[in-house]
Amino acid sequence: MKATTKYGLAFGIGALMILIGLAATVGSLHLSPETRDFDIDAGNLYFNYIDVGLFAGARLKGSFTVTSGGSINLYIFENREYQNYYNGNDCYYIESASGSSGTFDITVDVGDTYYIVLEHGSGYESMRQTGEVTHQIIGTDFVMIGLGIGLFIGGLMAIVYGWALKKKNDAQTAAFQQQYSSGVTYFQPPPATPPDYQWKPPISPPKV
Amino acid sequence: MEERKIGLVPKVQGQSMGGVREYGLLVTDKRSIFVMELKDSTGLGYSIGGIIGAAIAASARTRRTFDYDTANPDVLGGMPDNVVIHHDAIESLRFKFGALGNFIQFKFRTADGKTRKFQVSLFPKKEYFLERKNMGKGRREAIGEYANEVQTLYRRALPLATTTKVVWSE
Repeated sequence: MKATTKYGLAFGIGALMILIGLAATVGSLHLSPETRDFDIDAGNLYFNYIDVGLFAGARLKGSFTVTSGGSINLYIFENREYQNYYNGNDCYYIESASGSSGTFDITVDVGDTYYIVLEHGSGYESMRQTGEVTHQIIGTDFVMIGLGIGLFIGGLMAIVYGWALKKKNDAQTAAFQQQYSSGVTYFQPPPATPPDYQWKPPISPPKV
Repeated sequence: MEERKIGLVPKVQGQSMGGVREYGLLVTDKRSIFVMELKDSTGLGYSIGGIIGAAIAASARTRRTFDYDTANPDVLGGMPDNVVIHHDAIESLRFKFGALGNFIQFKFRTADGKTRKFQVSLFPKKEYFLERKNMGKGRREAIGEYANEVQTLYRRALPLATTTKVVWSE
């Protein structure tokens, strides 16, 4: 592999690792709460949900407000319990709330996908209901932060390595180029053609 | 008759949509071969993708070096990024030295009979500035000397029939 390709690759991979590392670190901090609109179509079987990926020890807190249609029920399920809910089987929720507005606040022990389910409140099944849910994940996802920082440092190292390769290559290039003057160089003219050689017979020594 | 290498200009710069291109200029008794040594799209990368775009473009910057003493002009002339101008195909050649920079402007016929314009700026390498600085000369003076060296090279290299189409810089 050519040196230029090598350091180009190191720069490219390093930049990519830094970007992914930064994204992973910043993304895992969950600095601001997230607000989502929801709507539940009219009908007994309709509901809506928001899936949230939580790490072990994370706290999920938030609130909901119904903007039209009256009271709703909010449940928070673990992944497996949500599947039971979806299939109409017996299911257990972690937290629930009812009304035209409310709050929720849970802390989970296991990292997994959790579901915030919004369904019609009793007596409001026949109407379409809309509103918004705000939720925020609180806590430090050390795995993601560690991964992000690791990628960031790895990316920096790749760039430093690429930089060192580039410097070395530049030095070699400069050394190669020094054989030429920094100004205009003239090439040696071709050697002049020697005059045609005329063969002459050897002169015999005088006879004594 | 075999093509004879006359001289080498270590650096001339061309500008294109893809960014700055740096050439080594090999002048023979038959043609001028602009050998691309550096393709720099950092500026273009910056305009498209900001600092990250510039960094990626800078990493993709390629520099090539050639041994001009032994390189065959036909091989150099056949490389895709290089520009070849046959001296007998020159329609006009202008050495334009001024406050905004020193340029050579070629107008020449290509192999398919079309007329093409090609302009490069004469800006020396940093080593040239250092050498001139050691001689007690300033930057501006160095740039002027470099351009004059190139003009002198062309005075020696161009065939008599072509010199009538040249506008020299005084």
